[in-house]
Amino acid sequence: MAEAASGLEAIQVSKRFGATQALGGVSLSIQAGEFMALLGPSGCGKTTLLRCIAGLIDPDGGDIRLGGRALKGVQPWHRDIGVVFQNYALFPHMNVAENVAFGLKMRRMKPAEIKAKVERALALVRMESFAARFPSQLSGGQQQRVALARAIAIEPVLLLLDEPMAALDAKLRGAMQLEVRELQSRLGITTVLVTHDQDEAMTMSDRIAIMSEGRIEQVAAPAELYLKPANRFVADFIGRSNQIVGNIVAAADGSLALQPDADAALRLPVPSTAPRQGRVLLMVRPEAIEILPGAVGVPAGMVGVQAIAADRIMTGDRISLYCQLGGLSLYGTLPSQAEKLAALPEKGAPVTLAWRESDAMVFAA
Amino acid sequence: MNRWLKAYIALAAVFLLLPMALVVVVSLSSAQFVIFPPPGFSLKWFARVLQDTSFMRPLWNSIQLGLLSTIMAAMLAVPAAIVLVRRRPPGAEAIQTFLLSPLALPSLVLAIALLFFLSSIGLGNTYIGLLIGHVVIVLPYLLRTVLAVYSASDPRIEEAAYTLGANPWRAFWRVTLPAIRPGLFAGGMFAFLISFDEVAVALMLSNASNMTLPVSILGYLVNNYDPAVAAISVIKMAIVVVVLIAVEKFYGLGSLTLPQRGGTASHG
Amino acid sequence: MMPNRFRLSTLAFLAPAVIGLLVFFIGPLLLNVEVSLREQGGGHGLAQYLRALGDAYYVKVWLQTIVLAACVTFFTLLFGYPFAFAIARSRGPVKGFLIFLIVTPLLINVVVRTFGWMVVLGRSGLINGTLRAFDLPTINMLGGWFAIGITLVHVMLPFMVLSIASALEGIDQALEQAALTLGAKPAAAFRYIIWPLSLDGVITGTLLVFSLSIGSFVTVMLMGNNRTMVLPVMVYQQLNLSSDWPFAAALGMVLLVTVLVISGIQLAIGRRLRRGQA
Repeated sequence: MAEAASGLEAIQVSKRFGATQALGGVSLSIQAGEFMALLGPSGCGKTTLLRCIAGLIDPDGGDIRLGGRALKGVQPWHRDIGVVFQNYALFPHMNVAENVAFGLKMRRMKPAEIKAKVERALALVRMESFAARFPSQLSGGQQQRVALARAIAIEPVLLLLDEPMAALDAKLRGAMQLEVRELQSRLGITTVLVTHDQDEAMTMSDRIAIMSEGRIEQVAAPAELYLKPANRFVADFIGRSNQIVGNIVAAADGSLALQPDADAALRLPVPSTAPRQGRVLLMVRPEAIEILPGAVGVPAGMVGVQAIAADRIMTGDRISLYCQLGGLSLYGTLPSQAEKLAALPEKGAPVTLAWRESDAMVFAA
Repeated sequence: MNRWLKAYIALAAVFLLLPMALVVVVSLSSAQFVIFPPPGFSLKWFARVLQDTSFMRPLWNSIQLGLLSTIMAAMLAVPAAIVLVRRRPPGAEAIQTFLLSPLALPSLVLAIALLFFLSSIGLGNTYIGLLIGHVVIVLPYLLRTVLAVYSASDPRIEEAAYTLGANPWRAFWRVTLPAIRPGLFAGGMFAFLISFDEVAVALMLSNASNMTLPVSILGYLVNNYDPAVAAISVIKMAIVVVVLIAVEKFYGLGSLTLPQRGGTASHG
Repeated sequence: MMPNRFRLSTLAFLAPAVIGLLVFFIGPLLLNVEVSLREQGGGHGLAQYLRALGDAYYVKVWLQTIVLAACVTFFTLLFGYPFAFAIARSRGPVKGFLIFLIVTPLLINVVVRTFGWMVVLGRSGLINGTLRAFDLPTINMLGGWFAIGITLVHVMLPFMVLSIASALEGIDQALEQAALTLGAKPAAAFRYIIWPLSLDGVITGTLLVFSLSIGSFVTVMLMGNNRTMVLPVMVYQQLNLSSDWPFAAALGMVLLVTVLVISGIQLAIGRRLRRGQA
């Protein structure tokens, strides 16, 4: 039901609030029909960017173009952008149907037309039978559907979702993420999602823009972000990892190794892509680490270290084994399966931790 | 805020402050009458008013009455508020509405009703009668503040005190009371100002010897129109400002800013 | 939960306040009803009420009282709403200043404020002094409905503003922004979103201001003339000048019932309005 979807282009958008630079010249290109997430910690500028796109904030500089049209000077009520607000911002004094009809009424459509469009929008989110209810009589998930219906009823050229799932409990959140994603691809509507929840961003988006301190750190598809982070911030922000800071030192044979700050007697293998000297951060994702009981030696084609098994921590779908080597602690994870659990070394037993050289990431520290 | 709203606020500020500012200007006038602009400035009206027992006696009466009625109202309101907030006995809602109901009455009606009643039990035109009248006026204000402050304080701090070995009395004295003391203090100051400003009940119940300041200013103003009224008004405003600064210092003015039914008594 | 034995004191804690008000609040009101029913022969009856309602003069005074309070309420709402809006929309020191502006008059005695307006409006006051300085003819603005009205609006404005401001503060700004993104111009967002959601505060404010202004007598006493008689002043005069207790009591009851009935009507209209908007 959306009009021909429009691409969105942000060019050097900047915004300052007093002493804080909320947006420092952000450029971002979103294709027509694409689902883009703005992901970052709170205060990174993602919400400011969203509000600039919606027209609720005027950027200090730069340009935002929607479907080739410059949005500068266009008032929010003339932009045809649907917004789902955090906490939904449903009008408490209007029932569900009136909420959804509001945007259509503002467009001075005929009552019959409004009625048909409201029914269609409510049907899309499976809320037809709740038309006469008031927002206070709805559950969080239902309110969210109504907010979505209200935003898409005006057949916007762009849909903005501002932390739409933040108020839902974990189970419902997962279900709604899939549902919204499904609806978005069915309507083919260009969508921007603002979130601080990386699982949500990965689940829902075609591409993710990682933001930090008013800048975009990386724009990429979820898998690429996880496996090939462009910089230390992205690598740290996305997923979990073992992080070891230290100096690059040359061994007697001329090969390079990492001397961790936590234990200067240790030498850890670094990939050949690492700098020849200086301080670095070595990151290895725990699921990339293979846990081999006993001091069995590192398998061919891998690098690794000998360590002593310490605590194991069960977190539902996977189990983490923490290991000590000298003053350093490393951990690896396994899927929670009974046989794997049984094979894990006991506390205090020797263990070999191995990983592929390509799974280690090195950044200047 | 857009331009129009800013311009409106500027006008409203003039409207709100003008009469008070003029009272200050007139109080410094050297003229014998209220004339604008004043021909010159002097402090002679302050000197006159400060020596005039027909203003100074009522001033002391008002301060005394305000303090006494506040203390007595607090002795009634604080225990009631504790029970109403924490123990919610059956009918708590109704009792609370009843205790706040004097706010809903035009104060003049309350004043004449009190006059009839106190006269019929032999307390008409006595100091005790006047004090009773002001306790009735002040009690709902004080109760409302204490209810609000006490409701906002976390009941778990008392529960924590119990688990640490305090009995209910000790928990109240050692934990609850210190927590709500700033609110109590602000509420008490507010109650004092209500009594200090009250006209209707004081007009009906006071006599020449225990007359309050607003009544004496009113009486003077009915017959005279000279800068003496301005001077005593400025002194009265100064006292209010001092009390307000004290409230602000201990609790913040926010506690007084959003009364649901404030100021009935002050308005008469 | 308190330990059980401590509950025994519930009654003891509540009793002083409840008994105090029963004796010195409900008692006087009941006595007032009794006094208003006293008849000259010594019996009881409706003579005082019939006297009040049967005389065109008293009925006129009664109507004047209602109209004055209604006008004051209307103008306080008209002037108070934008001020409340400004308070709700401002932050930091500006908000503090606006609250200071509106709270300060609240804490200055009504007698003093009336005097202040006498200085503004009086024959040798600010306005006429200014007119005289420019050799323009002076206007006597004291002693009439205009002076009473402007003073009462000044006295009542804080109550209206604070009631509306607290309602406006409670409206999530995202609601207005949502309306804007849905295509509502600011005026439409105000009409369909902010105004209906602030109605609670408007109702509280109008109820409060109406019942306060219908009972006000100091301002009318000081600024009025013999044409601007209202019920509360009349009650006062019956008591102090004529010492006619039963009649004063009856007029007081008329005032009380009027306040309660009109407040009830306002509440009902307010509820209807809110439903209509929903």
